[in-house]
Amino acid sequence: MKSTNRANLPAAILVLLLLMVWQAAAIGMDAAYILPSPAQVLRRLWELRKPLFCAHLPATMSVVGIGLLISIVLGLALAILMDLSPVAEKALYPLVIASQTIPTTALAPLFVLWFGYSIWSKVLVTVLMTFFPVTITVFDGFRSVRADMKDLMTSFGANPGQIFLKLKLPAVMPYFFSALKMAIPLSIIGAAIGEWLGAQSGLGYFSRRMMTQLDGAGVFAPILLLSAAAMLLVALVNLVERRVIIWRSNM
Amino acid sequence: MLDFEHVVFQYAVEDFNIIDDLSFHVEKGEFVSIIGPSGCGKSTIFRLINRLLQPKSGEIRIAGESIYQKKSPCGYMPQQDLLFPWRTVEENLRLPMEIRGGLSKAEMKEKTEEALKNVGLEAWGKKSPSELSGGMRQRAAFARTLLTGADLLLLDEPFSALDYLTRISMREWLLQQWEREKKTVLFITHDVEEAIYLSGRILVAEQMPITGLTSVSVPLGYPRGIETLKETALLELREQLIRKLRRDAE
Ligand SMILES: Nc1ncnc2c1ncn2[C@@H]1O[C@H](COP(=O)(O)OP(=O)(O)OP(=O)(O)O)[C@@H](O)[C@H]1O
Ligand SMILES: [Mg+2]
Repeated sequence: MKSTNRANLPAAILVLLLLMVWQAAAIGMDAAYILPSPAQVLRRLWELRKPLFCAHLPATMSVVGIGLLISIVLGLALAILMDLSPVAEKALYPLVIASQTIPTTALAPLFVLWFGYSIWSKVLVTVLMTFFPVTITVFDGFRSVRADMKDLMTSFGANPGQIFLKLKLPAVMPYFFSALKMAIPLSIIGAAIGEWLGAQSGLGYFSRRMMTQLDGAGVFAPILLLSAAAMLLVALVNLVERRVIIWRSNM
Repeated sequence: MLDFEHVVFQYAVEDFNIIDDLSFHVEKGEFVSIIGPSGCGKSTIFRLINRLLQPKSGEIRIAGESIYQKKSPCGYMPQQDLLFPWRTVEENLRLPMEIRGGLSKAEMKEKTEEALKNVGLEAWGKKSPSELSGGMRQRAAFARTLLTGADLLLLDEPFSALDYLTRISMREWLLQQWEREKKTVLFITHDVEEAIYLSGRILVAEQMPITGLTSVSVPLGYPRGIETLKETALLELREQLIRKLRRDAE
Protein backbone atom coordinates (compact mmCIF):
# COMPACT_ATOMS: atom_id res chain seq x y z
CA MET A 1 0.00 0.00 0.00
CA LYS A 2 2.82 2.36 0.93
CA SER A 3 4.48 2.01 -2.46
CA THR A 4 1.27 2.90 -4.32
CA ASN A 5 0.91 5.98 -2.13
CA ARG A 6 4.37 7.08 -3.13
CA ALA A 7 3.67 6.31 -6.80
CA ASN A 8 0.63 8.59 -6.67
CA LEU A 9 2.56 11.46 -5.13
CA PRO A 10 3.57 13.24 -8.40
CA ALA A 11 -0.03 13.10 -9.61
CA ALA A 12 -1.29 14.49 -6.30
CA ILE A 13 1.17 17.38 -6.44
CA LEU A 14 0.17 18.17 -10.02
CA VAL A 15 -3.54 18.17 -9.14
CA LEU A 16 -2.85 20.47 -6.20
CA LEU A 17 -0.91 22.86 -8.42
CA LEU A 18 -3.66 22.93 -11.03
CA LEU A 19 -6.25 23.60 -8.34
CA MET A 20 -4.16 26.49 -7.07
CA VAL A 21 -3.88 27.98 -10.56
CA TRP A 22 -7.63 27.56 -11.00
CA GLN A 23 -8.36 29.20 -7.65
CA ALA A 24 -6.10 32.15 -8.48
CA ALA A 25 -7.61 32.57 -11.94
CA ALA A 26 -11.15 32.42 -10.55
CA ILE A 27 -10.38 35.06 -7.93
CA GLY A 28 -8.71 37.19 -10.60
CA MET A 29 -11.69 36.95 -12.98
CA ASP A 30 -14.22 37.43 -10.23
CA ALA A 31 -17.11 36.07 -12.31
CA ALA A 32 -18.41 33.04 -10.43
CA TYR A 33 -21.23 32.41 -12.92
CA ILE A 34 -18.60 31.62 -15.58
CA LEU A 35 -15.63 30.36 -13.60
CA PRO A 36 -16.28 29.50 -9.98
CA SER A 37 -13.25 28.78 -7.81
CA PRO A 38 -12.69 25.26 -6.45
CA ALA A 39 -13.52 26.51 -2.98
CA GLN A 40 -16.86 27.89 -4.20
CA VAL A 41 -17.63 24.58 -5.93
CA LEU A 42 -16.94 22.65 -2.74
CA ARG A 43 -19.07 25.02 -0.70
CA ARG A 44 -21.95 24.69 -3.20
CA LEU A 45 -21.57 20.90 -3.10
CA TRP A 46 -22.01 21.08 0.65
CA GLU A 47 -25.01 23.42 0.45
CA LEU A 48 -26.70 21.26 -2.17
CA ARG A 49 -25.79 17.94 -0.51
CA LYS A 50 -29.38 16.99 0.21
CA PRO A 51 -30.84 17.07 -3.36
CA LEU A 52 -27.53 15.96 -4.90
CA PHE A 53 -26.94 12.89 -2.77
CA CYS A 54 -30.53 11.88 -2.05
CA ALA A 55 -32.23 12.47 -5.39
CA HIS A 56 -29.88 13.09 -8.29
CA LEU A 57 -26.94 10.81 -7.54
CA PRO A 58 -29.21 7.74 -7.09
CA ALA A 59 -31.06 8.61 -10.32
CA THR A 60 -27.83 8.83 -12.30
CA MET A 61 -26.36 5.74 -10.71
CA SER A 62 -29.38 3.65 -11.63
CA VAL A 63 -28.94 4.72 -15.27
CA VAL A 64 -25.24 3.88 -15.00
CA GLY A 65 -25.97 0.54 -13.34
CA ILE A 66 -28.58 -0.59 -15.86
CA GLY A 67 -26.63 0.80 -18.83
CA LEU A 68 -23.39 -0.81 -17.71
CA LEU A 69 -25.05 -4.16 -17.11
CA ILE A 70 -26.69 -4.16 -20.55
CA SER A 71 -23.43 -3.05 -22.18
CA ILE A 72 -21.44 -5.83 -20.50
CA VAL A 73 -23.97 -8.52 -21.36
CA LEU A 74 -24.31 -7.25 -24.93
CA GLY A 75 -20.55 -6.79 -25.36
CA LEU A 76 -19.75 -10.25 -24.01
CA ALA A 77 -22.46 -11.85 -26.13
CA LEU A 78 -21.21 -10.17 -29.29
CA ALA A 79 -17.58 -11.05 -28.54
CA ILE A 80 -18.43 -14.69 -27.83
CA LEU A 81 -20.59 -14.93 -30.94
CA MET A 82 -17.86 -13.45 -33.14
CA ASP A 83 -15.35 -15.84 -31.60
CA LEU A 84 -17.59 -18.87 -32.15
CA SER A 85 -18.47 -18.21 -35.75
CA PRO A 86 -16.36 -16.60 -38.48
CA VAL A 87 -19.58 -15.77 -40.30
CA ALA A 88 -20.85 -13.85 -37.28
CA GLU A 89 -17.51 -12.06 -37.09
CA LYS A 90 -17.68 -11.01 -40.73
CA ALA A 91 -21.26 -9.82 -40.29
CA LEU A 92 -20.98 -8.12 -36.90
CA TYR A 93 -17.49 -6.66 -36.68
CA PRO A 94 -18.00 -3.91 -39.30
CA LEU A 95 -21.39 -3.10 -37.76
CA VAL A 96 -19.92 -2.75 -34.30
CA ILE A 97 -17.25 -0.41 -35.66
CA ALA A 98 -19.83 1.55 -37.66
CA SER A 99 -21.97 1.99 -34.56
CA GLN A 100 -19.25 4.27 -33.22
CA THR A 101 -19.73 6.73 -36.06
CA ILE A 102 -23.30 7.39 -34.89
CA PRO A 103 -23.36 10.87 -33.33
CA THR A 104 -25.06 9.64 -30.17
CA THR A 105 -25.35 13.11 -28.66
CA ALA A 106 -27.17 14.42 -31.69
CA LEU A 107 -29.60 11.51 -31.66
CA ALA A 108 -30.35 11.63 -27.94
CA PRO A 109 -33.24 14.11 -28.26
CA LEU A 110 -34.83 11.58 -30.60
CA PHE A 111 -34.53 8.93 -27.89
CA VAL A 112 -36.45 11.26 -25.60
CA LEU A 113 -39.21 11.34 -28.20
CA TRP A 114 -39.26 7.53 -28.29
CA PHE A 115 -39.03 6.78 -24.61
CA GLY A 116 -40.24 10.05 -23.05
CA TYR A 117 -38.52 11.19 -19.88
CA SER A 118 -38.29 7.58 -18.66
CA ILE A 119 -34.99 6.04 -17.70
CA TRP A 120 -34.70 4.18 -21.02
CA SER A 121 -33.74 7.14 -23.18
CA LYS A 122 -30.73 7.71 -20.90
CA VAL A 123 -29.91 3.99 -20.76
CA LEU A 124 -29.87 3.87 -24.55
CA VAL A 125 -27.33 6.71 -24.75
CA THR A 126 -25.23 4.97 -22.11
CA VAL A 127 -25.31 1.61 -23.87
CA LEU A 128 -24.48 3.11 -27.26
CA MET A 129 -21.38 4.70 -25.77
CA THR A 130 -20.31 1.78 -23.59
CA PHE A 131 -20.89 -1.54 -25.33
CA PHE A 132 -18.26 -0.85 -27.98
CA PRO A 133 -15.07 -0.98 -25.89
CA VAL A 134 -16.41 -4.04 -24.06
CA THR A 135 -17.06 -5.89 -27.31
CA ILE A 136 -13.78 -5.00 -28.97
CA THR A 137 -11.56 -5.53 -25.93
CA VAL A 138 -13.06 -8.89 -25.01
CA PHE A 139 -12.96 -10.02 -28.64
CA ASP A 140 -9.27 -9.06 -28.77
CA GLY A 141 -8.86 -11.22 -25.67
CA PHE A 142 -10.36 -14.21 -27.48
CA ARG A 143 -8.06 -13.64 -30.41
CA SER A 144 -5.04 -13.58 -28.12
CA VAL A 145 -5.67 -17.13 -26.89
CA ARG A 146 -2.64 -19.15 -27.89
CA ALA A 147 -3.21 -21.67 -30.67
CA ASP A 148 -0.68 -24.10 -29.17
CA MET A 149 -2.62 -24.15 -25.89
CA LYS A 150 -5.78 -24.92 -27.84
CA ASP A 151 -3.93 -27.71 -29.66
CA LEU A 152 -2.79 -29.13 -26.34
CA MET A 153 -6.38 -29.16 -25.06
CA THR A 154 -7.50 -30.85 -28.27
CA SER A 155 -4.81 -33.50 -27.87
CA PHE A 156 -6.24 -34.19 -24.40
CA GLY A 157 -9.57 -34.86 -26.15
CA ALA A 158 -11.28 -31.60 -25.10
CA ASN A 159 -14.53 -30.61 -26.81
CA PRO A 160 -15.29 -26.99 -27.79
CA GLY A 161 -17.22 -26.41 -24.55
CA GLN A 162 -14.26 -27.51 -22.43
CA ILE A 163 -11.88 -25.39 -24.49
CA PHE A 164 -14.13 -22.41 -23.88
CA LEU A 165 -14.51 -22.94 -20.14
CA LYS A 166 -11.02 -24.05 -19.24
CA LEU A 167 -8.91 -22.07 -21.70
CA LYS A 168 -10.67 -19.13 -23.33
CA LEU A 169 -12.61 -17.90 -20.34
CA PRO A 170 -9.63 -17.64 -17.97
CA ALA A 171 -7.39 -16.26 -20.73
CA VAL A 172 -9.89 -13.50 -21.46
CA MET A 173 -10.30 -12.37 -17.83
CA PRO A 174 -7.56 -9.68 -17.86
CA TYR A 175 -9.10 -8.24 -21.02
CA PHE A 176 -12.51 -8.27 -19.38
CA PHE A 177 -11.23 -6.21 -16.46
CA SER A 178 -9.60 -3.72 -18.83
CA ALA A 179 -12.89 -3.46 -20.67
CA LEU A 180 -14.71 -2.85 -17.41
CA LYS A 181 -12.36 -0.05 -16.43
CA MET A 182 -12.93 1.67 -19.77
CA ALA A 183 -16.67 1.07 -19.62
CA ILE A 184 -17.28 2.66 -16.21
CA PRO A 185 -16.24 6.25 -17.02
CA LEU A 186 -17.91 6.01 -20.43
CA SER A 187 -21.19 4.84 -18.94
CA ILE A 188 -21.14 7.71 -16.44
CA ILE A 189 -20.48 10.20 -19.23
CA GLY A 190 -23.24 8.57 -21.27
CA ALA A 191 -25.72 8.81 -18.43
CA ALA A 192 -24.86 12.46 -17.77
CA ILE A 193 -25.23 13.37 -21.44
CA GLY A 194 -28.55 11.56 -21.60
CA GLU A 195 -29.78 13.47 -18.57
CA TRP A 196 -28.45 16.77 -19.86
CA LEU A 197 -30.49 16.37 -23.01
CA GLY A 198 -33.75 15.37 -21.46
CA ALA A 199 -34.60 14.27 -17.94
CA GLN A 200 -36.40 15.24 -14.78
CA SER A 201 -33.70 14.14 -12.37
CA GLY A 202 -30.08 13.08 -12.28
CA LEU A 203 -26.77 14.87 -11.97
CA GLY A 204 -26.64 15.78 -15.66
CA TYR A 205 -30.10 17.30 -15.47
CA PHE A 206 -29.23 19.15 -12.26
CA SER A 207 -26.09 20.62 -13.78
CA ARG A 208 -28.11 21.93 -16.71
CA ARG A 209 -30.71 23.48 -14.43
CA MET A 210 -27.99 25.34 -12.52
CA MET A 211 -26.69 26.56 -15.86
CA THR A 212 -30.01 28.22 -16.67
CA GLN A 213 -29.83 29.90 -13.26
CA LEU A 214 -26.31 31.18 -14.01
CA ASP A 215 -25.07 29.32 -10.93
CA GLY A 216 -21.51 28.42 -12.01
CA ALA A 217 -20.58 26.60 -8.82
CA GLY A 218 -23.87 24.69 -9.04
CA VAL A 219 -22.94 23.50 -12.56
CA PHE A 220 -19.61 22.19 -11.37
CA ALA A 221 -20.74 20.54 -8.14
CA PRO A 222 -22.62 17.61 -9.77
CA ILE A 223 -19.80 17.18 -12.29
CA LEU A 224 -17.35 16.84 -9.42
CA LEU A 225 -19.61 14.20 -7.98
CA LEU A 226 -19.69 12.32 -11.29
CA SER A 227 -15.88 12.17 -11.51
CA ALA A 228 -15.65 11.06 -7.91
CA ALA A 229 -18.15 8.27 -8.60
CA ALA A 230 -16.18 7.12 -11.67
CA MET A 231 -12.90 7.07 -9.77
CA LEU A 232 -14.45 5.19 -6.87
CA LEU A 233 -15.95 2.52 -9.13
CA VAL A 234 -12.72 2.04 -11.08
CA ALA A 235 -10.80 1.70 -7.81
CA LEU A 236 -13.29 -0.94 -6.73
CA VAL A 237 -12.77 -2.88 -9.97
CA ASN A 238 -8.99 -2.64 -9.48
CA LEU A 239 -9.40 -4.14 -6.06
CA VAL A 240 -11.45 -7.07 -7.34
CA GLU A 241 -9.09 -7.54 -10.26
CA ARG A 242 -6.07 -7.85 -7.99
CA ARG A 243 -7.88 -10.59 -6.08
CA VAL A 244 -9.02 -12.52 -9.13
CA ILE A 245 -6.04 -12.20 -11.46
CA ILE A 246 -2.84 -13.08 -9.72
CA TRP A 247 -1.17 -14.21 -12.92
CA ARG A 248 -1.35 -11.25 -15.30
CA SER A 249 2.38 -10.60 -14.95
CA ASN A 250 3.34 -13.75 -16.82
CA MET A 251 0.94 -13.65 -19.75
CA MET B 1 1.89 -49.89 -30.65
CA LEU B 2 1.99 -47.25 -33.40
CA ASP B 3 1.55 -48.01 -37.09
CA PHE B 4 1.83 -45.58 -39.97
CA GLU B 5 0.55 -47.14 -43.20
CA HIS B 6 1.19 -45.24 -46.43
CA VAL B 7 0.34 -41.89 -44.89
CA VAL B 8 0.20 -38.89 -47.23
CA PHE B 9 -0.16 -35.35 -45.97
CA GLN B 10 -0.07 -31.91 -47.55
CA TYR B 11 -0.48 -28.45 -46.00
CA ALA B 12 -3.23 -26.65 -47.90
CA VAL B 13 -1.02 -23.65 -48.63
CA GLU B 14 1.72 -25.75 -50.22
CA ASP B 15 1.79 -27.52 -53.55
CA PHE B 16 3.60 -30.70 -52.57
CA ASN B 17 3.08 -33.52 -50.09
CA ILE B 18 5.35 -32.84 -47.13
CA ILE B 19 4.77 -36.45 -46.03
CA ASP B 20 4.49 -38.85 -48.92
CA ASP B 21 3.58 -42.51 -48.52
CA LEU B 22 5.21 -42.81 -45.09
CA SER B 23 5.08 -46.13 -43.25
CA PHE B 24 6.78 -46.99 -39.99
CA HIS B 25 6.11 -48.94 -36.82
CA VAL B 26 6.89 -48.55 -33.15
CA GLU B 27 6.66 -51.52 -30.80
CA LYS B 28 5.07 -51.38 -27.37
CA GLY B 29 7.51 -50.21 -24.70
CA GLU B 30 10.09 -48.85 -27.14
CA PHE B 31 11.89 -45.54 -26.75
CA VAL B 32 12.24 -44.21 -30.30
CA SER B 33 13.70 -40.87 -31.36
CA ILE B 34 13.03 -39.06 -34.61
CA ILE B 35 15.82 -36.86 -35.89
CA GLY B 36 15.93 -34.82 -39.07
CA PRO B 37 16.80 -31.39 -40.38
CA SER B 38 14.81 -28.42 -39.17
CA GLY B 39 11.53 -27.90 -40.98
CA CYS B 40 11.45 -31.36 -42.57
CA GLY B 41 8.11 -32.26 -40.99
CA LYS B 42 8.85 -33.99 -37.67
CA SER B 43 6.30 -32.02 -35.70
CA THR B 44 3.85 -32.57 -38.54
CA ILE B 45 4.08 -36.32 -37.87
CA PHE B 46 3.08 -35.65 -34.24
CA ARG B 47 0.22 -33.38 -35.24
CA LEU B 48 -1.07 -36.20 -37.47
CA ILE B 49 -0.91 -38.69 -34.60
CA ASN B 50 -2.84 -36.48 -32.21
CA ARG B 51 -5.37 -35.61 -34.92
CA LEU B 52 -4.66 -31.90 -35.13
CA LEU B 53 -4.11 -32.61 -38.85
CA GLN B 54 -5.85 -35.11 -41.13
CA PRO B 55 -3.88 -37.18 -43.64
CA LYS B 56 -4.92 -37.12 -47.30
CA SER B 57 -4.72 -40.89 -47.39
CA GLY B 58 -3.24 -43.77 -45.47
CA GLU B 59 -3.94 -44.97 -41.98
CA ILE B 60 -2.54 -44.34 -38.50
CA ARG B 61 -3.24 -46.96 -35.84
CA ILE B 62 -2.48 -47.06 -32.14
CA ALA B 63 -2.59 -50.48 -30.48
CA GLY B 64 -4.21 -51.84 -33.63
CA GLU B 65 -7.09 -49.35 -33.62
CA SER B 66 -7.52 -46.36 -35.91
CA ILE B 67 -6.76 -43.13 -34.01
CA TYR B 68 -10.16 -41.79 -34.99
CA GLN B 69 -11.87 -44.44 -32.84
CA LYS B 70 -10.34 -43.10 -29.62
CA LYS B 71 -11.11 -40.05 -27.52
CA SER B 72 -7.53 -39.09 -26.79
CA PRO B 73 -5.11 -41.55 -28.37
CA CYS B 74 -1.80 -40.31 -27.00
CA GLY B 75 -0.10 -38.05 -24.51
CA TYR B 76 1.41 -35.05 -26.24
CA MET B 77 4.10 -32.85 -24.75
CA PRO B 78 5.06 -29.81 -26.83
CA GLN B 79 8.38 -28.02 -26.85
CA GLN B 80 7.09 -25.25 -24.61
CA ASP B 81 5.63 -26.50 -21.35
CA LEU B 82 2.34 -24.59 -21.92
CA LEU B 83 1.38 -24.75 -18.27
CA PHE B 84 -1.68 -22.52 -17.85
CA PRO B 85 -0.64 -19.49 -15.76
CA TRP B 86 -4.08 -19.17 -14.14
CA ARG B 87 -3.85 -22.65 -12.67
CA THR B 88 -1.56 -23.85 -9.91
CA VAL B 89 0.90 -26.62 -10.76
CA GLU B 90 -1.48 -29.12 -9.20
CA GLU B 91 -4.46 -27.83 -11.16
CA ASN B 92 -2.42 -27.98 -14.36
CA LEU B 93 -1.72 -31.66 -13.76
CA ARG B 94 -5.41 -32.27 -13.19
CA LEU B 95 -6.41 -30.77 -16.56
CA PRO B 96 -6.24 -33.94 -18.72
CA MET B 97 -8.25 -35.87 -16.10
CA GLU B 98 -10.88 -33.10 -15.90
CA ILE B 99 -11.23 -33.27 -19.66
CA ARG B 100 -11.44 -37.04 -19.82
CA GLY B 101 -13.93 -37.13 -16.95
CA GLY B 102 -15.04 -40.16 -15.00
CA LEU B 103 -12.87 -39.59 -11.93
CA SER B 104 -14.01 -38.19 -8.60
CA LYS B 105 -12.32 -35.16 -7.03
CA ALA B 106 -10.62 -37.38 -4.47
CA GLU B 107 -9.31 -39.77 -7.11
CA MET B 108 -7.93 -36.90 -9.16
CA LYS B 109 -6.26 -35.45 -6.07
CA GLU B 110 -4.68 -38.77 -5.24
CA LYS B 111 -3.35 -39.27 -8.77
CA THR B 112 -2.07 -35.71 -8.96
CA GLU B 113 -0.20 -36.06 -5.69
CA GLU B 114 1.34 -39.34 -6.74
CA ALA B 115 2.43 -37.86 -10.07
CA LEU B 116 3.93 -34.81 -8.37
CA LYS B 117 5.89 -37.08 -6.05
CA ASN B 118 7.15 -39.17 -8.97
CA VAL B 119 8.55 -36.12 -10.73
CA GLY B 120 10.00 -34.69 -7.50
CA LEU B 121 7.64 -31.73 -7.20
CA GLU B 122 5.58 -32.77 -4.17
CA ALA B 123 6.28 -29.46 -2.43
CA TRP B 124 5.30 -27.37 -5.44
CA GLY B 125 1.70 -28.38 -6.14
CA LYS B 126 0.14 -25.23 -4.72
CA LYS B 127 2.58 -22.88 -6.47
CA SER B 128 1.99 -20.96 -9.64
CA PRO B 129 3.92 -22.29 -12.67
CA SER B 130 5.78 -18.97 -12.91
CA GLU B 131 7.51 -19.77 -9.63
CA LEU B 132 9.13 -22.89 -11.09
CA SER B 133 12.48 -23.13 -12.87
CA GLY B 134 12.63 -24.25 -16.51
CA GLY B 135 13.53 -27.84 -15.62
CA MET B 136 10.79 -28.03 -13.01
CA ARG B 137 8.24 -26.72 -15.47
CA GLN B 138 9.20 -29.42 -17.97
CA ARG B 139 8.89 -32.04 -15.23
CA ALA B 140 5.44 -30.71 -14.37
CA ALA B 141 4.47 -30.76 -18.05
CA PHE B 142 5.72 -34.34 -18.29
CA ALA B 143 3.65 -35.33 -15.26
CA ARG B 144 0.63 -33.73 -16.92
CA THR B 145 1.33 -35.77 -20.06
CA LEU B 146 1.50 -38.97 -18.00
CA LEU B 147 -1.85 -38.17 -16.41
CA THR B 148 -3.55 -38.31 -19.80
CA GLY B 149 -3.34 -42.04 -19.07
CA ALA B 150 -2.12 -42.71 -22.61
CA ASP B 151 0.35 -45.54 -23.25
CA LEU B 152 1.99 -43.69 -26.13
CA LEU B 153 3.83 -40.47 -25.28
CA LEU B 154 4.79 -37.97 -27.99
CA LEU B 155 7.54 -35.67 -26.76
CA ASP B 156 8.41 -32.85 -29.19
CA GLU B 157 11.85 -31.44 -28.34
CA PRO B 158 10.87 -31.14 -24.69
CA PHE B 159 14.32 -30.11 -23.47
CA SER B 160 15.50 -27.83 -26.26
CA ALA B 161 14.64 -24.66 -24.36
CA LEU B 162 16.64 -25.70 -21.27
CA ASP B 163 20.23 -24.82 -20.46
CA TYR B 164 22.89 -27.48 -21.07
CA LEU B 165 23.30 -28.82 -17.54
CA THR B 166 19.58 -28.98 -16.87
CA ARG B 167 19.12 -30.74 -20.19
CA ILE B 168 21.66 -33.42 -19.25
CA SER B 169 20.01 -34.15 -15.93
CA MET B 170 16.56 -34.11 -17.52
CA ARG B 171 17.69 -36.84 -19.95
CA GLU B 172 18.72 -39.12 -17.13
CA TRP B 173 15.52 -38.29 -15.33
CA LEU B 174 13.39 -39.06 -18.39
CA LEU B 175 14.95 -42.51 -18.78
CA GLN B 176 14.15 -43.32 -15.15
CA GLN B 177 10.57 -42.19 -15.69
CA TRP B 178 10.27 -44.30 -18.83
CA GLU B 179 11.67 -47.39 -17.12
CA ARG B 180 9.24 -46.99 -14.23
CA GLU B 181 6.12 -46.12 -16.21
CA LYS B 182 6.65 -48.70 -19.00
CA LYS B 183 5.26 -46.34 -21.61
CA THR B 184 6.04 -46.20 -25.30
CA VAL B 185 7.88 -42.99 -26.12
CA LEU B 186 8.31 -41.22 -29.44
CA PHE B 187 10.79 -38.41 -28.99
CA ILE B 188 11.67 -35.63 -31.44
CA THR B 189 15.06 -34.01 -31.11
CA HIS B 190 17.66 -32.37 -33.31
CA ASP B 191 20.43 -33.34 -30.91
CA VAL B 192 22.10 -36.54 -32.14
CA GLU B 193 23.75 -37.28 -28.77
CA GLU B 194 20.46 -36.87 -26.99
CA ALA B 195 18.85 -39.32 -29.41
CA ILE B 196 21.62 -41.89 -28.91
CA TYR B 197 21.61 -41.56 -25.16
CA LEU B 198 17.86 -41.96 -24.82
CA SER B 199 16.67 -44.30 -27.53
CA GLY B 200 16.72 -47.96 -28.36
CA ARG B 201 16.12 -47.00 -31.98
CA ILE B 202 16.49 -43.82 -33.99
CA LEU B 203 14.36 -42.92 -36.99
CA VAL B 204 16.16 -40.58 -39.36
CA ALA B 205 14.24 -38.34 -41.74
CA GLU B 206 16.66 -38.33 -44.65
CA GLN B 207 14.63 -36.96 -47.50
CA MET B 208 12.35 -34.02 -47.80
CA PRO B 209 9.48 -34.58 -48.40
CA ILE B 210 9.48 -37.47 -45.95
CA THR B 211 8.90 -40.66 -47.90
CA GLY B 212 10.37 -42.94 -45.27
CA LEU B 213 12.31 -42.99 -42.04
CA THR B 214 15.60 -44.88 -41.84
CA SER B 215 15.68 -46.98 -38.68
CA VAL B 216 19.02 -47.16 -36.85
CA SER B 217 19.34 -49.33 -33.72
CA VAL B 218 21.42 -48.13 -30.78
CA PRO B 219 23.63 -51.08 -29.69
CA LEU B 220 23.28 -50.46 -25.99
CA GLY B 221 21.04 -51.79 -23.23
CA TYR B 222 19.41 -50.00 -20.35
CA PRO B 223 20.01 -48.60 -17.74
CA ARG B 224 22.47 -46.09 -19.14
CA GLY B 225 24.79 -43.53 -17.64
CA ILE B 226 26.25 -40.41 -19.16
CA GLU B 227 29.62 -42.20 -19.34
CA THR B 228 28.41 -44.91 -21.72
CA LEU B 229 28.15 -42.29 -24.45
CA LYS B 230 31.94 -42.35 -24.77
CA GLU B 231 32.09 -45.93 -26.14
CA THR B 232 33.66 -46.20 -29.58
CA ALA B 233 30.71 -47.96 -31.17
CA LEU B 234 28.51 -45.04 -30.13
CA LEU B 235 30.98 -42.46 -31.34
CA GLU B 236 30.87 -44.16 -34.73
CA LEU B 237 27.11 -44.21 -34.67
CA ARG B 238 27.15 -40.50 -33.89
CA GLU B 239 29.40 -39.78 -36.86
CA GLN B 240 27.23 -41.92 -39.10
CA LEU B 241 24.05 -40.11 -38.07
CA ILE B 242 25.60 -36.69 -38.45
CA ARG B 243 26.80 -37.67 -41.95
CA LYS B 244 23.25 -38.72 -42.86
CA LEU B 245 21.83 -35.42 -41.66
CA ARG B 246 24.53 -33.29 -43.29
CA ARG B 247 23.95 -34.93 -46.63
CA ASP B 248 20.39 -33.59 -46.54
CA ALA B 249 21.51 -30.16 -45.55
CA GLU B 250 23.66 -29.83 -48.66
N1 LIG C 1 0.21 -24.78 -40.52
C1 LIG C 1 1.11 -24.87 -41.53
N2 LIG C 1 0.76 -24.48 -42.77
C2 LIG C 1 1.65 -24.56 -43.78
N3 LIG C 1 2.89 -25.01 -43.66
C3 LIG C 1 3.30 -25.41 -42.46
C4 LIG C 1 2.43 -25.37 -41.32
N4 LIG C 1 3.11 -25.82 -40.24
C5 LIG C 1 4.33 -26.13 -40.69
N5 LIG C 1 4.46 -25.91 -42.02
C6 LIG C 1 5.64 -26.16 -42.84
O1 LIG C 1 5.88 -27.53 -42.86
C7 LIG C 1 7.25 -27.80 -42.70
C8 LIG C 1 7.45 -28.80 -41.58
O2 LIG C 1 7.04 -28.25 -40.35
P1 LIG C 1 7.29 -29.01 -38.99
O3 LIG C 1 6.86 -28.12 -37.89
O4 LIG C 1 6.68 -30.35 -39.05
O5 LIG C 1 8.88 -29.14 -39.03
P2 LIG C 1 9.86 -29.77 -37.96
O6 LIG C 1 10.59 -30.88 -38.64
O7 LIG C 1 9.17 -30.09 -36.70
O8 LIG C 1 10.89 -28.57 -37.77
P3 LIG C 1 11.66 -28.10 -36.45
O9 LIG C 1 12.81 -29.03 -36.29
O10 LIG C 1 12.12 -26.72 -36.82
O11 LIG C 1 10.71 -28.12 -35.32
C9 LIG C 1 7.94 -26.49 -42.44
O12 LIG C 1 8.68 -26.15 -43.60
C10 LIG C 1 6.84 -25.50 -42.22
O13 LIG C 1 7.15 -24.29 -42.87
MG1 LIG D 1 9.14 -29.16 -34.72
